[in-house]
Amino acid sequence: MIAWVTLGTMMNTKRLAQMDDVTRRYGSYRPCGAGLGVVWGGVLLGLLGVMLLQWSQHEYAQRAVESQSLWRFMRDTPLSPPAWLQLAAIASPFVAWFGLVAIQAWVDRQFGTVTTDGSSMSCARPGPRWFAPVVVIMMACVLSAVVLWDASTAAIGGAAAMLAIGAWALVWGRSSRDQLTLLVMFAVSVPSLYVMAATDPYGNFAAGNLVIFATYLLLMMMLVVQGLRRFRGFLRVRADLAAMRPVEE
Amino acid sequence: MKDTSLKSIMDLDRMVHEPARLAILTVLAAAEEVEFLFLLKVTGLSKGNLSVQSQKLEAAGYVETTKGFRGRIPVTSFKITPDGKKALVAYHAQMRAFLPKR
Repeated sequence: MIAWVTLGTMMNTKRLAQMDDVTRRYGSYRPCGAGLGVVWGGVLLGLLGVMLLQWSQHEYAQRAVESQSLWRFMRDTPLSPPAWLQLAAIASPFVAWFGLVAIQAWVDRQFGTVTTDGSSMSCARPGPRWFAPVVVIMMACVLSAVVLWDASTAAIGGAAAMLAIGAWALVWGRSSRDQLTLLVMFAVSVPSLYVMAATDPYGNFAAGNLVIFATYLLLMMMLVVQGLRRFRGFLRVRADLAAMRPVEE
Repeated sequence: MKDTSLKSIMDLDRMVHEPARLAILTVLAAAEEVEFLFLLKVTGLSKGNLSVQSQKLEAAGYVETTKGFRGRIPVTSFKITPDGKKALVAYHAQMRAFLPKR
């Protein structure tokens, strides 16, 4: 016992375990703006979905023949999304990423950055980090090839926009290791690609977009649940951090 | 106590045994990279003391420091080195040897 006194104050092992636990939890709940980034992505995709639906209904009200359902009208009519919808679709993945980065910076300003291996702990299905960006890039390439093949020069703008969204996937794919962040960007990017693919009116993508948007909105809703769970965990860690006793100096 | 010989106790790595440095190493061992601000919050040390202790750990080769910027704000981050991890594991093993078995 005397030896302990001569060596100075011994750190409490419980206290060390608490520090270790708080650090690990903070590191795993911090990414994707502590989960708030998913809400941001969800809002953006929701807005884009509302815009698409509004345009579809407007066209349907203007041009549909009597007793024709919305689905049949969208399937059988050569439709190209208006410029404002195209602009919104192109901007979405870029705005989503800049928003995610800004939310993350706001979160990190409070307690700093901690990088851990378990950054995807609170994500439903941790997988390889390259999966989401690579799928977006492949879709961008395939869709732009199809559109160019079908409509040639008239589709150059749409194809270029799709390739830009695909190239952007390289940026967010390289910048994040967090599965939730990658899935949010995936869920925002893919519907945007399909809106741009519909710029070829004879490609009949307009009807398919209704299904694509519904599917990706459902995916986003599941991600939002994950994000809110992560945010709840983050709030708990924040409370634990605030309650930590200082180390004896 | 299993081993209370003065020599064993004096063999403890004093670089690790000091409470502030032990806290820093424990936090760093739980993550890949930790920012100064987080270390400050989790340990509750003063800025000055944290700087001094992290410099000592860096000089001992237990910690790596990276300086960068977040926007215009300078940011310092720390990583535990393999030597630091070894020292921490060895320290825990030594301490466990001193403590009585429950």
